[in-house]
Amino acid sequence: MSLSPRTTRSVGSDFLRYHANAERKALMLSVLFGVLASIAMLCQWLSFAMLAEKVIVDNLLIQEQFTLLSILAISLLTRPLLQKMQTQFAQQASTHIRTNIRQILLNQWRVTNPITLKAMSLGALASQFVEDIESLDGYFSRYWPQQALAVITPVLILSVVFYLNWVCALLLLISAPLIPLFMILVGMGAETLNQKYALQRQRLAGHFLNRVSALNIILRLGAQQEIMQEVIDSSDRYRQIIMRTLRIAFLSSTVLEFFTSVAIAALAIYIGFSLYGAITWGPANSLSLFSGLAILILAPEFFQPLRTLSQFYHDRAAALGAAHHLHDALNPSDDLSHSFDYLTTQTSDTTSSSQPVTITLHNLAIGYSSATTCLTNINLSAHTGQLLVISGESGTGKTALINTLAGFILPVSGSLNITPNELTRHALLPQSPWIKNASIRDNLLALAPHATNLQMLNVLSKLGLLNELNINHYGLDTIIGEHSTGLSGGQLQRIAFARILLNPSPVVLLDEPTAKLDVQSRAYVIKAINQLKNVALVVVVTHDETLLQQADISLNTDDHRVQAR
Amino acid sequence: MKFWFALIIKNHISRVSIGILWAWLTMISGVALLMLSGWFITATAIAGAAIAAAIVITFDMYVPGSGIRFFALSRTISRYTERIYNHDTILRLIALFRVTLFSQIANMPLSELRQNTDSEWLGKLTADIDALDSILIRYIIPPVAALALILTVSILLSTIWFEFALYSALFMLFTLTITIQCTIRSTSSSGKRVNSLLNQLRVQVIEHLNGVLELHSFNVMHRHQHSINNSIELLMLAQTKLNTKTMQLQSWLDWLLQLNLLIVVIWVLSAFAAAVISGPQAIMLVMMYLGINEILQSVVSQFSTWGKTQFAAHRLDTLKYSPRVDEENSTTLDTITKIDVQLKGEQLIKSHEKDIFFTLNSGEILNVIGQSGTGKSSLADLLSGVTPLNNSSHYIVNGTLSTSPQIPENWYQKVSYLEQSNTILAGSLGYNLCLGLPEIAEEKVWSVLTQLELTQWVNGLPEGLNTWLGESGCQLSGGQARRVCLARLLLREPDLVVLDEPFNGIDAMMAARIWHQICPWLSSRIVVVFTHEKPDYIDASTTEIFELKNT
Repeated sequence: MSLSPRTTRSVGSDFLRYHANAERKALMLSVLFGVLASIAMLCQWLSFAMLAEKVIVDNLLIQEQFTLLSILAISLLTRPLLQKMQTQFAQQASTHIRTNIRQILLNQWRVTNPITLKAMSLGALASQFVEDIESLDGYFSRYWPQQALAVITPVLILSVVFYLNWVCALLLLISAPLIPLFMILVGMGAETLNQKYALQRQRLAGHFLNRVSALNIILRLGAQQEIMQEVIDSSDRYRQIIMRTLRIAFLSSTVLEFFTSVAIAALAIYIGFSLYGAITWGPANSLSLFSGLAILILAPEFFQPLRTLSQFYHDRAAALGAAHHLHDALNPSDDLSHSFDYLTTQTSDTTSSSQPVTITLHNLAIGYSSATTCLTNINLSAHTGQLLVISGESGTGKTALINTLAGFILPVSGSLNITPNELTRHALLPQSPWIKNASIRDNLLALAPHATNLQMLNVLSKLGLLNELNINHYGLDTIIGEHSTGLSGGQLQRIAFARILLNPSPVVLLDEPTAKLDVQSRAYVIKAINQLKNVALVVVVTHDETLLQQADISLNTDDHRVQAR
Repeated sequence: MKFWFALIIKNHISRVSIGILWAWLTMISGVALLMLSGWFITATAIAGAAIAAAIVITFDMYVPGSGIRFFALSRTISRYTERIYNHDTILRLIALFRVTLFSQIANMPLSELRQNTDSEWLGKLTADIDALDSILIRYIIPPVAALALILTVSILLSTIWFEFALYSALFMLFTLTITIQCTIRSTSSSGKRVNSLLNQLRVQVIEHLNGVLELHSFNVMHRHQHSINNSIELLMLAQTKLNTKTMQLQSWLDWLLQLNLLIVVIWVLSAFAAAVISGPQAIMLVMMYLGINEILQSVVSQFSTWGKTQFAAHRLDTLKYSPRVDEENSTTLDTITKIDVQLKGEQLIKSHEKDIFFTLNSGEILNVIGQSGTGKSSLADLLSGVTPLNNSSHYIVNGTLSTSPQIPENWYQKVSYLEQSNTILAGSLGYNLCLGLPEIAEEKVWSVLTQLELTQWVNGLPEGLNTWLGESGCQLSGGQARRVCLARLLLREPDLVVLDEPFNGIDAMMAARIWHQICPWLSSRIVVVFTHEKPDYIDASTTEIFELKNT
């Protein structure tokens, strides 16, 4: 499915609007306080201008202007508070929205097919969860309230200026729509340049990372100096191209600066000439130092909200891009996965039922999709107390069968019945088991949350691990995972297997549980598998001769032969 | 962060100074525009009132008028120039940062480098480099330019009214320094905490998703989410704390500036009444603070990213490696004709015997075979020097036992290694082939391409040898990529050639033909070929076979 840029934008902005609505109250409060701050600003400058006229033109004593002084003092000193409230509410809304979206995404993963998730790049998913959501911050905490304030505040100021002198108001009114017009023209120019250099820019932008990621081969080919020079050259070319675009792009903010400066200058000259008496037409005669000074000071304030909005504009662009990705992640298309309805409805049940189970496969055909069917016509039945061994050449669908039994992929045709059918849990040991970067205890508890220390120690000793761990490591507190070097693959495999023993379910699925093990530890595991048969139906994918001999039922995926003992 | 500060100053001091000058010019134009406008309308108001009262005065309207127009223009121009100029400097700095980091990373031991260069690590690296921008555009240019502005304005002011100039200078300097100090002190730890929590969250999410098969089947996914939910909560708290601190500082600063404005208004108007200054001057002074307040107000937001920058700089610091080759102890190798390999207790290599001994001679081919998981690639890494040997293993090169654990300086000129995975750099085909060989003749490249049966393909490419490969370029098939990587080796003159699954992704017929064609090149070297089983193209009678096996 390809999206045109137009729908990309609308999907993103719909997503942002939806989440802004959820925090509407806080965002509106932020706008409200922003408006109040603008009013305080108006009071502040009007009272100052009035005070200036009274003292300088009318030669009144400043000590006698008690009312004006108190208005000035109150508005001066409350304005920072109002601005603080404005920021506070907006940031609060943004923090809530981000937390909320993170939780939704986390729950979305819970109902997504794990096979689908596993097939995606975990780094990309993680940066979606961290960076993409983080980049929404600017939109909610800055851009959204400013969007409203960029309209309300100038209108407020304009009406005050209009009341004071309509010519000045007209001047401001004319310049205001010119700004977006010029900014759009400049933006279009920058965009054309951008597209012209798009390919070159993309290549140069990726250059550094590409070379760092290939450093290994670069060092071995002895090209280090050559590449260093290349990094310098390509950074330089990148700079030249970017600067060409920036020279145009920065004009857009210059337009704003220009209008702000010109408006101040034009107003100052108009007001000055009017006050001097050089201009007599229109409302020039009614100008006083009060109205003139007020208008002069309010002119930059008139443009300020627009300037602020344009500063926040890149927040919006960043948020739109991220929102579009997030929208897709939260609304996956149906063909990617079948959702896990049964998992969402029930609470996490971690106690194992003692009821015996039976699995019946009838004319079952399996595969990751109907186009890539890897096993067909499987018929067998197995129940608690039995050991079902699946063997065969690699690539014949053994793991796919385990995934089908676990419910991760749906049968292509035929039927798979598990009775009792309320069974929702399997104890699965994949070919390369998951090891957390944490202590052994945490690794065990992750899948067997109710295990006690004593149970853990028992199971580890049953698998012949305890002595080794206690003597050479820190027992249950030994840290394992990516960064540990002390434990061998076989030991990690047994730790993963220990989790099955600590929290067995009526159906236990083991994919190559003994592949990485030496003779002695294999014996431990095989013994434990036999004990598991007492409480569960054990399905094992293996090439292990011992296990094959002990199988109650064996299925060979090379020739679909089922043998029952 | 000191290191990066020093790097910027050392390499670009003049650009930084000119950038500051432009920023100062922008600031002073803005302040002057407001001051002159305020002075002008007050002066005209007084003059207008005098004329109305029929007092004859002379007042020049045009000089201040053109002054106002000048400052309006100079503010716009200097602002634009400042932004362009300083962005140029930033891009130059990024180039400098990249080169500095590149040479630091290049000093990393190869074994460590390989663990680090995944896409996630690279993503972090760019983010960290980008975070260093702040040093120039937040921590150097604005505060220094503001300082210069304060001094300029105060000096000019002292010619009009010394007491007020002194007060202004002290107040502005105090506000600037105290705000910078307080912002750094009170936000940097929260900033670092937010960034480390974001980092932690990332690690946790990857771990959670890694375990999704088990967590799902055991039906404990929900429970395992708890720790992530906790981190989300902690992050929310930390962000709120950082926001609150920044906000508090901002409102204290705003309050201080507003209070000062109130004092200034009362003071200047009283001074006017006392005839210390004129009316236009009084308004001019208030307008000056209007301009300066806007500049001082932004200090908090500029410095509130200090913690984030520190965090990034700290992470980049961990990449500093002392140079790989110690100049005094470095050794160089002559032509390698014979290597005795003695591997003792190398865990990853599976063999019948615990210790592995073999001798490699020039002109001989050793074929190492073994199923997957028996440590073929680990042995290839060891032989080619990519991973270091343990303390009890040795190579005896040309009969001399090397005493230094360091790899000789010219080792990679003598040893060529075709890894199992293909690395194609984003760049042209010719570039990929001649990497590290800047002076190679084009005929030689074509003769190697012919040996690898690539000539026809290259001639069919849109731009021949100049066709762009890799990211945002032409995509190669697995077999083509393999042969391009092999071609890189064949263009060199190594003494030891280590080939790990050399014909992966290439059909058996072509593999045999290529092998036959490169045999003359191989014949004068020590060759080690790693394969699953003995390939048909290898002549068993002249090749030694060594088998790795799970015990």
